[in-house]
Amino acid sequence: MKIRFAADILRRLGEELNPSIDRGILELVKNSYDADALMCTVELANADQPGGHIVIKDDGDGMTSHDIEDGWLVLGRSIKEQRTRTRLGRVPAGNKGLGRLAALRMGSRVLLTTRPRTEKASEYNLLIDWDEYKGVELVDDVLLNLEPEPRRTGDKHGTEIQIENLRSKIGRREVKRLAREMLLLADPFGDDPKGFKPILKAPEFEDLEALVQNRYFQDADFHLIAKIDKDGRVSAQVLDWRDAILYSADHDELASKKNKLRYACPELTFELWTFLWRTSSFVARSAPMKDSKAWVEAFGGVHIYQNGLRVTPYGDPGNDWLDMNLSRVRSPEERPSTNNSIGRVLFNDAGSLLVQKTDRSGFIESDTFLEIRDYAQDALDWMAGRRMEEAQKRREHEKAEVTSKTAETRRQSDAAMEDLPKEAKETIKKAFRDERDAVDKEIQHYQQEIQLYRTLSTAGITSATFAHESAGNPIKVIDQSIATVERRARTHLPEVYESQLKKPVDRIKGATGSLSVLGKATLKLLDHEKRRPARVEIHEVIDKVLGTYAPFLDPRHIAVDAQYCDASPYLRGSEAAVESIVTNLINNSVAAFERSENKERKILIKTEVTNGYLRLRVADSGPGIEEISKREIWLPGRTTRKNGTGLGLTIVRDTVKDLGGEVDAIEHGEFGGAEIFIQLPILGV
Amino acid sequence: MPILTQGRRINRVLVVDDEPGSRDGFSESIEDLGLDVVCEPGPMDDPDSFIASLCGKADAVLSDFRLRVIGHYSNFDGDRLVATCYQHQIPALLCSSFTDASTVIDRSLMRFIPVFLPTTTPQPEDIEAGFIRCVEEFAGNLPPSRRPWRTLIHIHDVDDSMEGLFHVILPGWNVREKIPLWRDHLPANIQPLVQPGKWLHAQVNIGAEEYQDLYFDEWETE
Repeated sequence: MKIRFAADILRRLGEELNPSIDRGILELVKNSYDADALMCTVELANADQPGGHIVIKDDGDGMTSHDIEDGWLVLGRSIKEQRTRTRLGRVPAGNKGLGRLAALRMGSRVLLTTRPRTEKASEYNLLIDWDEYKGVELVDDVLLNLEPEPRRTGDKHGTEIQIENLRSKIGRREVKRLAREMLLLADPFGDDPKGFKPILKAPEFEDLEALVQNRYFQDADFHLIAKIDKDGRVSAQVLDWRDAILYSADHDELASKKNKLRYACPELTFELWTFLWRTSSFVARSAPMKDSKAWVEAFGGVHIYQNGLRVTPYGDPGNDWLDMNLSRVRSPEERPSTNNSIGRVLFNDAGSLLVQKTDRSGFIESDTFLEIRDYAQDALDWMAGRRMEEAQKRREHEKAEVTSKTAETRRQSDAAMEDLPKEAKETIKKAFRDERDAVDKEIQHYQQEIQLYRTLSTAGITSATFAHESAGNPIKVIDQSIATVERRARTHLPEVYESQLKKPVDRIKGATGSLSVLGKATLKLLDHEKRRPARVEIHEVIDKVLGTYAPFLDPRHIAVDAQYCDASPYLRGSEAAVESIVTNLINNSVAAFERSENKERKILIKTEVTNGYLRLRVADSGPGIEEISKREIWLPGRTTRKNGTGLGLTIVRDTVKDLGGEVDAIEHGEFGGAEIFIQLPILGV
Repeated sequence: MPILTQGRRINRVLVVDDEPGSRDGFSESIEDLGLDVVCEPGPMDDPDSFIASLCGKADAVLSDFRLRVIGHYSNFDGDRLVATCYQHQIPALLCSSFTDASTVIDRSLMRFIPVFLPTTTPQPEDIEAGFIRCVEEFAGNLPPSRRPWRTLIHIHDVDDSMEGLFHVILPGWNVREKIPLWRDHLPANIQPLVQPGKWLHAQVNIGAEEYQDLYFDEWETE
């Protein structure tokens, strides 16, 4: 007895395992590569409708009857699995024959004609009629007839496969994809004259072929070359568009972050060409910007070439296996994306360290593959870091340059004015002087504002340090000591404790409690997690701020009335932004109460949602906006409070603007004091 | 009066804290429990030398979390010290009111820290219960909140604004809560695998109610 296969297995293996038509045809093209062909043409005839046919023809070594019987017709095992190199030293790329089956089953008949290089006078023909399998029970019930024929004079070795009577049409999109894959298959960016040249006879291919042959590498602004040697040691350099080295790094620098002694993967080269396409700097290049853009659009992404042949889907549209786009979103400055760069990872892997998945959807994610990806990402990180440093230097240089340019411009305009007629000269000179004074004042104002922000940042950092310190040491010691006093007095002097010690002990505990809460509040403001953009639930943030402020507001007899709308409005932004709005408005009210004779200290916080906007009102029972105009309260440094920074409401205004909202105020609102209105666009409720 | 549990006797406790006043504060709580106290004056170079020096000096340890604020006291923090004690079967408690303790603590060490009191004024009865809990764990009696389970871990994001910080989600624990972890707290072979979207396995006490109590240990590469 033996296991046998139903004829239907061919349909299941062929059609159901096949990811797409182009992948199937590519498998046949890879067969040609394995047969040491230099050329392989794929011709589609009337393939845009069912019933058409496909011819795949190569100038490879052809097959003997033995090769056909024991290799080509055996599914699930390929003679190439032995991984011995071919006559031309190629590492076979063919798989278990399932992709080939899928391609052959695209039509109802297949005609194979092959002329082996080792048998100069032979030609073999084999016809497979898939319809014959419909009427039988088992696969081996159909006998195939291999017909040897004498070779006609002049016919060279090679193989031709004709797939006839296609079951379905091959659409334009599939042809375009096939054209792209065939072009990219054998590293068209390399310069190997003995390289494999697959050609698709279709207009789409000609367009793309013209594009691929143009090769705009030389116009890229940055060319990263990152290598791993046979010992797993790495190096990298970045060249500019003139091939001058901009940066280079050895293993220690590249691997320092992860402290790796070696990368456990085969010797490889990763190259990436990145284009900036800035009109101002894209000069003296070989072609207009639009050409290189079209080229990158067609072939961009980072492709992987294993043993000279491309492995899909790496570098396909939508495939970002190095997470370049994600990194660029997180840090847009100086990071390449798949839209502005093209790259390749080349390596030889005769030992099959990397194995492709059966459905040809990439490599099995082994440690070796992960290591390759890791290195490519490390190299990209390194390049981004160097470019960031460069950008920082550039900004500093630009700043210095602007100052010197301003001085030069002023000298030139002064000189030009000397040539003016006497009567006009004084008038124009005065106008210039006034204009310069105004600009100087504006600059001075901005400089003061920057300095104020820096001073406040320093104050914030210092108070955070003190907050850590006070929670960690002095308050801890007071807490522990008073806890001992309380515990021991309760045990040994219960009556005296209740009548004479309990009150002062409770006072100390209350005071240290408040102190530590204030310290924690400072630290909470600095929680870096809050600065990350995310969905922000506005009511939750207000509640958190009020919770933090409670131990501060209660002793001051300040009552907060929070009236929220009947919804949960949220926006996309950072929690820190919303928090800084609410915190500064509360601080503003608290400061106002100190100037107020009104004994009732109330803050109203009210939210409403209308037409996609959140309206936040903060009103207090303080003295209102007095001695300063309503317009001026938003300006930096404007305050009626001695030693006030005058920055609180400026921060509120700037933050609201950043969130796409608006601010307004009235001098005396619902509670008699100032009332501030904030309107913020929200994502939902 | 000594604590007697599982055939073990705890009579003398070593107090570890870089602040001398705080050492006295902890000591008084322990004294009120009826135990003897010795204070560690420092300096301490590494946890193993500390353990070696402990022999015969004390039966248990109570340590603050931050031991490096005041200079020349210790080269390591209380989490490492308490975990090392646990691995040598010495009952040890960790105390702290440090706000960020739960964020910065090494979560692989949390497996060996059965009691983390979030206060610097522990009551004598809390200290006693803590030591008893340690000894119970040495005997293999882990409460459900401390039992390890092989757990699927999803790397949610890598925080670019804070070097080495990343967040994970444990679908088997709480699909909504992102837990902060530090890359340098992971074994060296796991660190390169920290990438957004990656799925890994480790031993985690998913019976814990709060994320602060979770530990992550025995990470797997596959």
